[in-house]
Amino acid sequence: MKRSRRRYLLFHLHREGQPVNGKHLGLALWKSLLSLYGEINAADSKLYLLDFDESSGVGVLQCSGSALQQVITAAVVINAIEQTLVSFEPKRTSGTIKGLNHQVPRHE
Amino acid sequence: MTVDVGVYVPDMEKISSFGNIAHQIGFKGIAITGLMDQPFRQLAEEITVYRRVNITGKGINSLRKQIERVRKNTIIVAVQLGSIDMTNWVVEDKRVDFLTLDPSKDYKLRETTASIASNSATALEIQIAPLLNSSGLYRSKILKAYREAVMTAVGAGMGVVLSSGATHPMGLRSPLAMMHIGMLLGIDRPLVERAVHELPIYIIERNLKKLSTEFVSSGVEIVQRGRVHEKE
Repeated sequence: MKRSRRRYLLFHLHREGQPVNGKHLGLALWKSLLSLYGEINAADSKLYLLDFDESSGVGVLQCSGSALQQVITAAVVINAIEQTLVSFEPKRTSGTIKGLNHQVPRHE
Repeated sequence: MTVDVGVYVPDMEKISSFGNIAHQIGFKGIAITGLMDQPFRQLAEEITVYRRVNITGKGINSLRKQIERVRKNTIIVAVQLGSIDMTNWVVEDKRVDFLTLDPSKDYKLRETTASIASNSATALEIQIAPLLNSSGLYRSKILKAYREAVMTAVGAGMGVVLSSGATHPMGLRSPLAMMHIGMLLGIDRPLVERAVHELPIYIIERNLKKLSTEFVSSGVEIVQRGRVHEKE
């Protein structure tokens, strides 16, 4: 089986209300991906929340290159996490985590 | 310059919170329904707010009267997709900017309607709010309605515009996020960029030009006013 390349996504989760826990965000991402694209695509996405700053809402997630488009779309359609209304803003993607750090500071 | 052309602000007190989020996620303007008397105004958040009117009516006469009344002080005029006769009349009228699709209704965009619209520059507006506020089977039905309408519009050369349809600041999505939703609806990359970045601002600039006192008709403008010298 060919190993797919990883992609990293820098994002900003805007919210109105209580800060969103990283664990809840990860779960919401998985649920949305599963609902929108199904079990096979969710499994193949290799989605993983690498870093998330609850106060600023800035974070980095990792997924397979082939699933990047699906992961972003699934994240964008999330409108609430644990009763907190949210708006997911994809900022930048890169093939390396270092690339993201160079382009945009991870914690604003 | 990117503008979200479909925002529903419940009252003017909340406009700054919408403006604040819109500015943070990369918009330069939003078009809001009702509430304003003037065609546009500038907010402190470096956001321009444009006046938009959604027209609904039972018959062609009612629509015609409403369009006549609002067109001169409105930047965006949108009409909801309805019965065939009414919709075909609407898309033929060059004063109408958007034909908005309501996925909760059974009306479908027909190829003939899309073809008429492509000649009169009326664009199909897809609001993403119903997608964000639903899940499961109901969202699947909305996706079906949107994807079919988009496919018909693109096939006929009708313009497609994506807007948030947000009733809450958190209902706004960044231009890049909107592009991803556009791709979910089956719009390919160059067209989705046009649907989010180019077409909305093109329509706004065109309509701002029409509101100018120098505008006479399409392609005719007063470039310089002068006196007529009579021969003595």
